[in-house]
Amino acid sequence: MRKPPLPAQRVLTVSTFLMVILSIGLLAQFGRVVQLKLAPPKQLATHAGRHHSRIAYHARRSDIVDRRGRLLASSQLATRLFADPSLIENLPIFCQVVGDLINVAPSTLKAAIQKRIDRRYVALAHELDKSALGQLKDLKLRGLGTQRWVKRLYPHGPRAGQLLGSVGFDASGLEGVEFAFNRDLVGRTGSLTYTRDVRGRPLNLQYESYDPPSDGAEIRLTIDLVIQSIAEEQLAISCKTFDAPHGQLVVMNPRNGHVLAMANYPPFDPKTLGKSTPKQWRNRCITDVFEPGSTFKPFVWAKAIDLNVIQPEQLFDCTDSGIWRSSKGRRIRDVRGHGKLTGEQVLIKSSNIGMAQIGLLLGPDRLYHAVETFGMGQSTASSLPGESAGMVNPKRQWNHYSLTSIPMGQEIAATPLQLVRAFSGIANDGIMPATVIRIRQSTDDLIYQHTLNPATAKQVRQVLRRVVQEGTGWRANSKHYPIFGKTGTAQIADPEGGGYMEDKYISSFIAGSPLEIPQIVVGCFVHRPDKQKGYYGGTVAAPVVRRVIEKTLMYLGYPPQEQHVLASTN
Amino acid sequence: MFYGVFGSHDSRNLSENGILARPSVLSAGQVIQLVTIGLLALGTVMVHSAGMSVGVGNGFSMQGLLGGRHVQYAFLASLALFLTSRMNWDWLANGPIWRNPILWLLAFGVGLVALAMFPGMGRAAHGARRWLYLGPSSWGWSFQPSELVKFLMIGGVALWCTHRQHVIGQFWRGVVPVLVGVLIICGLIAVEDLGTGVLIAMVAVLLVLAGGARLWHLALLGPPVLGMLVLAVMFSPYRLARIVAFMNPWDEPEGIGYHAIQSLVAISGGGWTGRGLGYGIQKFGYLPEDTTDFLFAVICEELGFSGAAMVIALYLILLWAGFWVMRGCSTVFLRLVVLGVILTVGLQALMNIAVVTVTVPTKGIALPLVSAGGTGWVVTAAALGLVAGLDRTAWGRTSH
Repeated sequence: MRKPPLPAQRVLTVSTFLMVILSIGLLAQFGRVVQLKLAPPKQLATHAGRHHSRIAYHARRSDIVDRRGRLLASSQLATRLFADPSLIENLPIFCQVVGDLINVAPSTLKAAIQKRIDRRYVALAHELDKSALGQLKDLKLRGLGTQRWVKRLYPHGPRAGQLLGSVGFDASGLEGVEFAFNRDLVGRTGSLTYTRDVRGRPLNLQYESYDPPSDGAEIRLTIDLVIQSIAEEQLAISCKTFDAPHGQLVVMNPRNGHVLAMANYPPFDPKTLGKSTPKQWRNRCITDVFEPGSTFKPFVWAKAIDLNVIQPEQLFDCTDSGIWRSSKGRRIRDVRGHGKLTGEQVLIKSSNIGMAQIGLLLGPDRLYHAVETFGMGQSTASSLPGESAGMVNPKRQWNHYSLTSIPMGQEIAATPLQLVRAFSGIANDGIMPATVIRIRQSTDDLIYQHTLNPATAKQVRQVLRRVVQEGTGWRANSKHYPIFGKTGTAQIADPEGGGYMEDKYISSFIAGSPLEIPQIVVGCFVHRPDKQKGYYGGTVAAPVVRRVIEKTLMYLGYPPQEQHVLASTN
Repeated sequence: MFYGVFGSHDSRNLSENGILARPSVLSAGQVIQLVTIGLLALGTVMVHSAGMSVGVGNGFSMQGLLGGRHVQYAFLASLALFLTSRMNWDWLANGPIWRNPILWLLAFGVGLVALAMFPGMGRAAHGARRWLYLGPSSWGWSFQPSELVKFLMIGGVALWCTHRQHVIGQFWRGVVPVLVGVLIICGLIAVEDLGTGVLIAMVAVLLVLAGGARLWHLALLGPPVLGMLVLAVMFSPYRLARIVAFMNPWDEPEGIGYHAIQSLVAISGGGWTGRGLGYGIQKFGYLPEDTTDFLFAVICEELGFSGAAMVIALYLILLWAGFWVMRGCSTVFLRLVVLGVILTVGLQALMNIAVVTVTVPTKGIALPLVSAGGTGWVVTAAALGLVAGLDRTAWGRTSH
């Protein structure tokens, strides 16, 4: 039999064994820690991200200014008050207290909240004033919250409203310039990522990633606020006088294609976007197309002269009756029988018969070339949303009718901006500029179109000057500035089908001034004036254009004619 | 091999007249005291770090830190460590067993445990009634009797093994009575605190084994104890949930797996070097029980690899220094007492760390001397002081 070990020795033996086991256990645990440090379980990664919260810092939506830096649109921080119905403890008391604060009847408030009781967000007031904000802090009412938002300001109200467009609830541009240059305007949202505790409170340990926001870039338009105001005021006078439902007026610098004014009637206030219809906020200067009628004649006429197809002194038989049948049997009417007219007089008297004959002389190829050269059927690339390219039928669809219709501005459709730009081609000695709505450093991408030889352009301007002096545009004849232009009284094509609507006209006048070195081109288009009060372009649109030209050139500092006279007599 | 560190009975340290000279290096007892104070200091710092929270009025000040409760506890614990190390414990095992104070104190401690379980008598935390108030409850001083029983039980078992040395090898007369007593007391504690109950039982069984019981006698008790444990788990929904959570923490990362996952996030967080003292993130509400049972995870997160290495190294030094002291003790009783103390501390540390690293299912057990808990700190420090005082090599005392 083995001798039993001494009791004390046995304690030592057992404890040595236990010590070793314990030590191995502790060292193994250390190994486990090392393992977790070196190679944490992959699933952990998905649970570690919650340590951080991110705050977005919204960049300021930048300003839109006119060509001289005058503010057209700006941004301002505002505070919105909202309710979270699920947190409201006592709705009647809540409505009473909050109603007092924002000056709204508690019953109205209650109805608004109850309508959306299952939501978590009911906006109560969009702009809190300072005193209300102060009181709000002491209120500590559950279910009430404030939210910062960027309010868009239009300091001149409806001025250039359709052109500027508006912004939506989320401060993104919806229409007009606000939409077209939205990406530049919004800037870049910044953020702050911070370590937080389990309830979301920041620990202020370290700001690992602060990404500062950068505000948007200021958008400088070619618009001149003063000219825009002149344009809108004069357009409104005419539209009101002749009971026209709507009208457009565009002012352009023919040298560089800068749009100085783009006016619409009736005016539109960007603040009311939510309550208005597309009809009201649409910028019809670029979105609406119509048959230009007689205002289109100068382009075809000029091209015919330029291509030597006709001579200014060449005689055209415009019939004594005012009714002429083409070789293919089409009947064309003039307002009255003009008899024999020279080429110049065809344009000055705006003879449809004469223009039809010129069209036939040109033939489809040269006529199409004329239409194309003046930018018809092509977008002006103004970069504004909804811009229409106008309508020109493909040449292969043209027939005999087309050759006689197009020279008098039918069977073709254009926007007001397109017509004003095409007219700038005549005003700018045969070079049609690109449309510019925003002033930028680089102008490399602008394409100028050669339309006429400079001498022809000058010749056409002389003839158009006579339109104002002795022809249909006599109401546009200014004492102060030599104006050249062309009237138009276009019938409106029936959208229901072929033919034209009875007694519905677009009265238009496009003109430039001064004669030698034209500085501005103005196009005015008044839709559906009351026929009882007048509907000829010369009656409705020409006086508007004259006043706009006079006021604009005076504002721009071009000396009126009297001063020329005075200067020469001295 | 340890002579150079701990000093020894070696004749090199004996002066000419046979009196043991003051050792030239640290004695084992001094090492134990230093490590204990080191762990307490680490605990104080880390409990305060883990206790940080976000909010107004929770500012951190030096006054608040030094006058805080855990500094008081650490001071009390150090005092206890010092006092118990200066006492002479040789008389403890002498005299008739029924007059021995250990048994009476043990009975008193068990009574307090039972008292704490009555509603209204004690303080409850997280649904467990483990604490008794010291003085009016408004003072907020509380006391955990099971911590006291943990160490008194060691004395009790050691006493039994010493006095019944002649029959300890017999199943019915030697082993069964003491283990029945242990099981009753541990069962009582386990009702509110399974971890501590299991720990006390494990230490007691190992002491009986070291005290002379036959291994197969103890092995016989295995199946019924295992059955009881299974029952304890089966009839307690939260314990069952903890085991399920341990098996599949990723099934319900926001539910029962949450605690384990957050502990792993804390340990692996901060990488090799840690986030730096005070810079932990998990303690801000993500990791529950961050100042108590899961403080080790915070240490790993903030102090990194070196923090974990330091904690484990300190426990290992404590264990082996205790073992060295035990070797120096001549009586079975004292050897068993020392073994019981170091086993309790070592096992508890191992269990706690294993829970934190999700090596074993979650159960509430503190990291000794580090996790927040006043009673635990004071009682554990006192027990370690006792061990340090038994170092026969220390302070020029004569060897037995």
